[in-house]
Order: sequence, then structure tokens, then C-alpha cells
Amino acid sequence: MSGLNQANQKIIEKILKQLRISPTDVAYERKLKNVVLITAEYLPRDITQVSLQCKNLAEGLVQRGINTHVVSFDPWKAGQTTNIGGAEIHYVGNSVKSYSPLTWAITLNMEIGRVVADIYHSEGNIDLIHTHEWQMFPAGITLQSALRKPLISSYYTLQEQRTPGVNNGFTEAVKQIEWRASQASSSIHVNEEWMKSALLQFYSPSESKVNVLKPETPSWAKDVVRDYSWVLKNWDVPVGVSEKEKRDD
Amino acid sequence: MKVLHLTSEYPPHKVGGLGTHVEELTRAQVKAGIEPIVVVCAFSGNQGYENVNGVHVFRFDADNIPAEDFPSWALQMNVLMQKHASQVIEEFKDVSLIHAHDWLVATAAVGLKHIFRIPLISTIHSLEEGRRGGIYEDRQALIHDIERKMVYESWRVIVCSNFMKQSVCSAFSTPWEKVDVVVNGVDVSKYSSDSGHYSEVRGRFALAHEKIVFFVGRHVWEKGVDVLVGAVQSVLSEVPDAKFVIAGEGYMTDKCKALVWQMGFGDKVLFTGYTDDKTLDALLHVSDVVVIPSRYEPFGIVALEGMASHTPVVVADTGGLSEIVQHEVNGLKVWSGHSESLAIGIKRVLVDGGLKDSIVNNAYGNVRDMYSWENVAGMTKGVYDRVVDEYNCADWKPSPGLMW
Repeated sequence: MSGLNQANQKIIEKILKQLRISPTDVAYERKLKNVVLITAEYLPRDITQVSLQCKNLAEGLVQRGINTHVVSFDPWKAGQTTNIGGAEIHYVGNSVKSYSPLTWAITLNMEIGRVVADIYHSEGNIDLIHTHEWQMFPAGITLQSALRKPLISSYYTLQEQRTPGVNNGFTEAVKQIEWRASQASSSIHVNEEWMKSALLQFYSPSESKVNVLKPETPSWAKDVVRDYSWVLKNWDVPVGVSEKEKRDD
Repeated sequence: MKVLHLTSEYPPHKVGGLGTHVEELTRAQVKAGIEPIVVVCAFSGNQGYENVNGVHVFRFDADNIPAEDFPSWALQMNVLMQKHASQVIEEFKDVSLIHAHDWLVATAAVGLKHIFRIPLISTIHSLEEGRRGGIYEDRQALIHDIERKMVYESWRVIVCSNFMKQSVCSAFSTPWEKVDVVVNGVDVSKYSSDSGHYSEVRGRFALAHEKIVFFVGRHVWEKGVDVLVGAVQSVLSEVPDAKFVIAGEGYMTDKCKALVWQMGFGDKVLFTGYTDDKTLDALLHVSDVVVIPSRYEPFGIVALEGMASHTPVVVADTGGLSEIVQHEVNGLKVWSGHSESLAIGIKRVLVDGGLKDSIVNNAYGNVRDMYSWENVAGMTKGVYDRVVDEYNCADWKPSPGLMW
């Protein structure tokens, strides 16, 4: 009987591991207090699916008691903060006249950094940062490094899919940004299995951190929170390379 | 006091004068009791940490950044710089100030300022609208806006001349009180002795009886190399022994060379291309006059180098040059963008030995007393102290209890 229980326990642990759930997850879920979502669009600004998905996610997080801040680009509302469905929406603008999506994304990073830093200093902490689509990845990469907090990145499409076979400076730069984000992220969210395959094919992140989380499923927000908790539990603050370089010298 | 310098160049990687400026400034800051930390992009596998006479230098890998053009390359480089500098700040713990040098590091500097809530000081070495004589296209507009953002976000702004102060305040509606003038410096000891190769170098560029008229700089519109070419005929008409040695390169080089040959002065004008530091140092010494015919010149470091080398300088009356040179006291001023005026100035120095001796003596003492790097570091520290004092009285601080 005892042997059977042990076998069952192992099976349960294996299933939990596959589902990325552990008995301590609940505790980490409780620790999950402040989440920042960074997106190029948020309702009422609605250009692609990103806007609606971020809104649903923000509201799902709020329902689970998580203090949720959304930092979103909106040139007409820049500087304003509003509460929509319990989430604090911080709108940012870009005062730099950019001439390409790439220069726009990176110059916007300055303002996003300012707003996220203000949230960080006013809240006293941020548990994790979740960026959506490549335009926001530079902000995610720099904030993750500076605040030493876990970064989650959501990929909706890849540059290789948007402009297949094109290898000019712009597309190569976007690809490199997508690749850097895939390396810097503790967890990567995609909506479909084929996106996971594409991501693994083009950028080779660790397969274990690429998660297919389908927004149309009823448990989606819960699954996202579960992944956040998993990330938080397994998060190791990175050691600065410069200290190592100094020692090596 | 620990100060984080962000720069796009630092020796051995140098593009313009910025790298040398940051190197000399930080070196002098060590002597002044400041602990400078430099974060700079590096190429060809030169990344890593180096302690250069007390200056902490962190070089990060900026190779292989794909980009559609130079500004987008620079912006992506900033993402890496910000990432790397964040780690450096965390490890040094108590960095008091961020000192950013020019637009090339602006987005990283602004991001770091806000995240760590460390005051930002910017040195604006030149402006895009000055470098190009205006803002004409999208890439320039981007750079211009980044410069504006950098100035706006800075606690205080350092410029190298009153001309630049006027330019910055005018371009960005910056309050006059926010901008400090800290001149550039020159290490006169580097220019004070002949290491034995001067005569050899002179022989490579001119005959013994020829008088060298020396120009060094990028061959671009703002440096006025074409103005000098326009003065050649007039100078040679009165001083047939003059020999024009034009160092540097740029998009105007071919045009100027063609013009010289069309005028029939191919044997009197020598385009050297890029010259190494040793040759450049020798040329500054052995020349009979150093000319700086710029249309736009935020400061004019070549004028100081010429003055420190005991060589008379003839400069365009523009920008920082107007402030360095007192006419007929430590150099000659001529009209900017005017070849005949430049020719008159060159001829006066070449034929009037008394004038030459007088301005050379005055110039050397002037450079030694006013433009030492110790003096520059002291003035910069004055700006630092003011900002730190104001910061200590301000509410803008990191949240208490946050650990970096």
C-alpha cells in the first residue's frame, strides 16, 4: 500500500511538474502583488489583437487581487492615468520625431522607462514586467536588467513571418530585438502551438520557457497567473557581469 | 563621489575628439578625488573591464548590431548600454551622478536617470543643426529631438563655450541658468618637447624653404576645408614658398582635390588623409601657421593644440574659436566662410615675424593657464557639487528600502 502511495505521489508530482504547479505555487501567487504590462496599444486605442488581449489579461489579474499597471502608448492621452476595470492605465507619448518603427520603439523606451520607474518607486516594488510584441521589448530588456525583476514577453507574430525572406537593416534589427527579448525573458507567452514552433525555430530559446496560453480558453488568466507564480518562485537575481570582469582582470 | 560617464568613444576607440575629451577629463577627475566610471561601446572583441589610472572603464560589445542606418544603430546600441550600465550602477551601489556625453548615449542616460533616480548631467559637445547647418531631413530631425530630450531631462547642461550655450538655449528654449560653460582642455606637456622626429616629419611634407600652412579636421562643410582651398591662390601670389598640408578626410575631400588640380596648385597642396597622433603632433609643431577656417565650431580644440605647440593660429571668427582667440593677441581672426579674408590672415602671419612671435608667446601662456585639464576638472566638479547639493534637498529620490 505504501509503495502504491509512493508511486501515486510520484505520478502526481510528475503531472504537477508538467503543469508547472507545486504546493508552494499558492504561496507565490499570494506574493504576486504588482505586475506591469507594457503594450503599444490598449483600449480604446485598438489596432490589433494586442489591445483586447492586454485588457482581458489586466482585468483577469485584477480579479485575482493583483495590483495591475498597464503602460501603453497613446499620443492623445500621454501623461494621463486612468482606472479601467480596476487596472491603472498609464498612457505615454513619444515627443521624439521618429521616422521608422524601430526608432519610434527605442525612443519611446525613454518615456516607458520613466513611467515604470515612477510606478516602481511609488509602489515600493514591482514583481514582474510583461511586455507585448517587439516594439515594447527594448523597454522590457532594459527594465528587466535595471530593476532585476523577471521579464515575461508575449509574441503575437515574428518579424520572419511578417516579412519572410527580407534581410534589410530594419528587419534584421527587429529580429535581433526579438531574439534578445527571448533570451532575457524568464517566460515567453504565445497563443498557438505553431507560434511556439516558429519561435523555437528562429530564436532557439529554452523550450521549457515557451508557453502556449490560449486567450480563448476560460482558464487563460488563471494560467497566466500560474506561470507568473512559477517564474517568481524560480527567479534568481542575475549576477552582474561587470563584477566578474573586474575579478577576472 | 562616483560619477558614471556614458560615452560612445573612449581610447583606443576614437572617432572624433569626444573620446580624448572623456579620457582627459576622467583622468583629471581622479586627481581631483572623483571616482569616474566609464561605460562605452567597444568593437572587435575589446569589451571588458579595465582600470585606466584609477578610471573604471567598462566596454561592452557593440559589434554586429544590424540597423537600417546610423541613428537606428545608435539607438540599439543605447539599449545595450543601458543594460550594461544598470549592472555597473548596481555593483558600485552609490553612484552620485550620471554624466552623458552627446546624443549618441541619450536614451540610455535618460532611462538610467529615471530608473535609479540619479541626477543626469549632459555635456553637449555640438548640435545636429550646427553640424549640418540646419535640420533638413528625417534623420536629422530625430537626432535634434533626442538632443532636445536629453537637454530637457538633464539636471544641468555643460557646454564648452558661450556660443554653444547660446545655441542650446536658442534651439531648445532651455533656461539660460540651466547651462554651464566649461571649456575644453589641452595637456600642454604633450606639446612641449621635440622627441626627435619633427625634422623628419617636416621633410616628408615640405621642402626646407617652404612654409607650412596646416589644416587638420574632417573635410566637411562645417570645418570649411573648401574655404582654405579657396585661399590658396591668394596666399601663393604673395608667399610663393607656402605649402598647404591638409590632414583628415571627409565627403569634401575629392571635391577639394579636384579644385586644387584645376587651379594648377597640385604641387603646393598636399592632402595627407588620416594621420597618426605622432605625425599630427609633429605637424602642429613644424608648421608655420595652423588654420581653422570653420563655419561651425562649438569649441575649436585644434586652436588650443596649435597654441600649445608654439605655432600661430589663424581662425574663423565663429563659435568657440571667437572666444579662445583674441585678435592680434594670441592669434588672428578672419571672417568665417570667406577665403580672401582667410588668405589675408595667413599672409600676415607668414610675412610678419614680429606679429608671429608675439601671438605665439601670448598663446602658449594663455593655454597653459586657462585650459589645463585640472582646471576643466575643477570647473566640472563645481557643477557636480551644485547638482548633488540640490539633489540632496529635493524630494526626487529612490523609494526607501529599495536595494540596488
